[in-house]
This record gives sequence, C-alpha cells and structure tokens, in this order.
Amino acid sequence: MTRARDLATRAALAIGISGMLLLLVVPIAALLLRVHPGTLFARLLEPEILAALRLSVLTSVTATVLVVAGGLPLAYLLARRDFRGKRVLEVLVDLPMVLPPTVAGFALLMAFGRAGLAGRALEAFGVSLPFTTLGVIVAQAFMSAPFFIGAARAGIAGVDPRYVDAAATLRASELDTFFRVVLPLSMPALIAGAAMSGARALGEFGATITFAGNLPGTTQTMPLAVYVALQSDLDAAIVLSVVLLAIAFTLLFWLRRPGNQGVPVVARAGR
Amino acid sequence: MRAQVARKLGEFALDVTLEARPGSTIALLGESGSGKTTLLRLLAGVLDPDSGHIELEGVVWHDGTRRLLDAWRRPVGYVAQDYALFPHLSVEENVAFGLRAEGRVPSETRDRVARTLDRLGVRGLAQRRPSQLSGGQQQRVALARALVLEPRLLLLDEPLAALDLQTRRSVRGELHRLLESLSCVTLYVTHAPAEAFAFGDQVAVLANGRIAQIGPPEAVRAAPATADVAELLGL
Repeated sequence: MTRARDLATRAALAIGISGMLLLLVVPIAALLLRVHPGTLFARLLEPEILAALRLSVLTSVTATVLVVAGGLPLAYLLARRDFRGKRVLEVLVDLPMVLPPTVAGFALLMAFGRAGLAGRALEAFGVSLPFTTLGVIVAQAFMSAPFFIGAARAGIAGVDPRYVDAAATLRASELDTFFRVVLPLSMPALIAGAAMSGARALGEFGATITFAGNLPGTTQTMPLAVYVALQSDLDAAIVLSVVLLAIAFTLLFWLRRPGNQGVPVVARAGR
Repeated sequence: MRAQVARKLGEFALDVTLEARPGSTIALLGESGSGKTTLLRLLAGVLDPDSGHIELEGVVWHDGTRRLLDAWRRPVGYVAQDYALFPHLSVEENVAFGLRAEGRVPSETRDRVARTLDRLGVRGLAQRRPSQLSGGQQQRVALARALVLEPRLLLLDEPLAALDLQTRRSVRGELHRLLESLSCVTLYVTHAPAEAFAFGDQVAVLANGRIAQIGPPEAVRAAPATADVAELLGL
C-alpha cells in the first residue's frame, strides 16, 4: 500500500515537472527551430530591424542609468531607515511589477500627457513625453525600476552592520560610509539588479505602446517591432524575437555564473 | 572620561557609571549577555543611551537627551570582537580608512599608516586582504586601524577571544606593552578574569547590566563584593 502510494507520488511529481518544463521550453524551442542562421544574419542588417535594435538598446540603457541613479538613494532609504509610511512606499515601488503594463502606460499618459497632471508643467518647459523616444525611456524606467530597487535594497540591507559601525568609529560620515563601504560591498547585488532592470526595460511592450505609441525609428522598440512584424513579415518577427531571446538568455546565464553573489539577491527582489 | 549611561534593549537594561583618567585602562569583566558590548557601542556612539551623560576631556558627547557628538566625530578607537576589517580593502587601505575620512593629505596618511603598521609589526602584510590573514594578524591590523587615528578613548571588545590559545599567549604580552604606552583611556572588555587582572588598572565587574564591583585588581581579587562576583572571578 505504502509502495503504491510512493509510486503514485513519484508519478505525479514527474508529470508536474515534465509539464512545467514543456511549458517553459517548447515555446523557446519552437522559435529557435524556425530560424535559419543565414536568414538571421541577413535580415538582422535590414534598416527597419537595425533601427528597432538601436532604439531598444539606446532606450533601455538610458532607462537603466536613470533607474540606478534615482533608485539607489531610494533603495538605501528603504534598507536603512524606518519611517512612517514606509510600507506604503514599498508597495508603490513594487506596484509596476504586478500592474498590467497597459494600465501603467495609461497612468503615465494621465500623468505626463498634454493635459496630464505633470504634463502641463512639462509642456511649459517645452518637454513632451507621449509618443517620443523620451516617453519610451520613461515607460521603460517606470516598469523596470522595481527590479533594481528591490535587488539594491536587499543588497544594501545585506551589508553586515559591523562594517557600517566600524566605518562610523573610523571618522566616516554616513555619506562617506555609503560610498566607501556600503556601495562596494553591495556591488554584486547592484549589478545584478541593474542587469535585471535593463532586461525588463528591453522587453517592455505594454506601457511603451500605450504611452509612447509605435512610431518606427522613434518609439518602435524591438518588442513593438515583433508585434508589427507578426502581422506582415513572420521572418522578421522571428529574427527580432531570437535576438531578444539571445540577449535575455545571455544576461540571465551571466548572472548565474559560479560565485556570483547577485543571484540570490535578485531572487529576493520580488519579495 | 566620565560616563553614566542607561539603555533598555528589550528585557535587558544597562545602567552603568564609569570614570577613568587619561592613560588608564579599565578592564570590564562580565559573562556574555552582561552588557559589555552594549556599553562599548554606547560610548562609541553607534547606539544612543536612553538617559545619562558621556563626557571626555571636558567635551560632552551625549547629555542624556541629545547626541551632541556623532559617532564619526568622536575621538574613539574601536576594535570589535571579530575585528570587522573591511573585506574589500587591503590591510593598508583598512588602516588608512579613518585618515582618509578625516581628509588628511595623502603624504601624511601614507607616513602615519606606515609607522603604525611598523609599530604593530604588520607592515609586510600591507597589500594583503583580511581574508588572507591569520587571527593574530587580523587583530594587529584592527588595532593599527584604531590607533592610527590617535584616539582619546580606546574601546577593545574581547581583543584576544578570537585567537587560539598559543597566539593569545604570544599576543598578550605585546598588547600589554602597547596599552601601557598609550596616553588615552582604554576600556578593555573581557570575560576572562586573568585578562582583566593583567590589563586593568581598575577592574569593573559587570553583571546583568550593572557594575557589581569596581576597584584595583588586587582589591577586587582580595575582597569580591558578592558571591556572584567571586564565582565570576573563579575564586
């Protein structure tokens, strides 16, 4: 009886694992099996595809730089201080991760659109975000910020407080301690967080198309170009998808390299 | 130095008064959990007292309600029990850390670091990382890092506890000579009576967050105030 139950449990586990692996692997395999290396490289150099690639790299790198610059002080605040309203702030920071991207794009439009809450003020300075490359960057930064902030926060909180105390008794102010102790010791987590954030920005679709539109050369990033190509040019869609897939795979594989301390931090980022 | 500090941490309450003249060493003897490290953290300024008064050489650091001098402005040298050497910095960079934070010019920093490393006998290890050092070497580097700043209050938290018996024996004599040569107040925390008697001009026995007895080593040894103190002293 026990043996039969044991076998049944094992069978159920095997079915569960195989089912999940099939779900994860089959779509990737299907995509890769459709691509011919010759076509891949030839089509990769076509102006439309290159333009989407160039725009994606430019916007996702810029968005990541902005997220790191603004997210690092926020991550430090969340990791090191207790204050009233901290939980609300934590939820606000995490929200873009669970928000439907189209809702996020719509919210950005309400905020930064011509008639939006902050849009009118920006308009006065001659800055317009919707349907511009800058808008793509803002949408990507909005959607990818939680990935960096979560990882950075965990990394900073993970710095042994003994070192922070030691720095304080060695004449280092809080700012000094941040730059000379906390920053270097949490660097693996910060790099991992920035990489995850960059990958998320690169793959951003819903918020971008809602807030910045789909203008080739200006706001049409690679995921948007895939969407358009799906309707008219399947080969182009495959090439663009494979490039995105390759970038994402390389990034994640690099983050999981032996000895990298950043990975568990990224795993904790979602909390 | 004059310090009267009280602090509650959960169920534990610390309430201690200490006075020491420059150049003297108070050995603070107590079992783990008696509040020794908490007291050092309060004096160093990385923890604030609930009430009390901390003063050194006429300067008030904390008046019981407000911290008047932040940790990083206090002329303190603090050697933590496990040394807390920065793992991402070399020995030389660890020792130079405080001088750089003080904004000393590079030539002065270099000279003072070299002199202090020489004094502690670890100049040959200057380029090594803490992970490449033995326990005894780490202890010397931690001392060098604290002493290079010429502190007026030196806080040593179980400086020999992390060392094996053989290293402890060899380091003890050197440390004793070193402390004798200093002009600052030294607070030497230990749970070992032999160390307390060897290092302290005064021995303060700490139990449950309060000083059960304080006095010259021979007086404390000759007449323990309570049965608990006698037991702690191994008498």
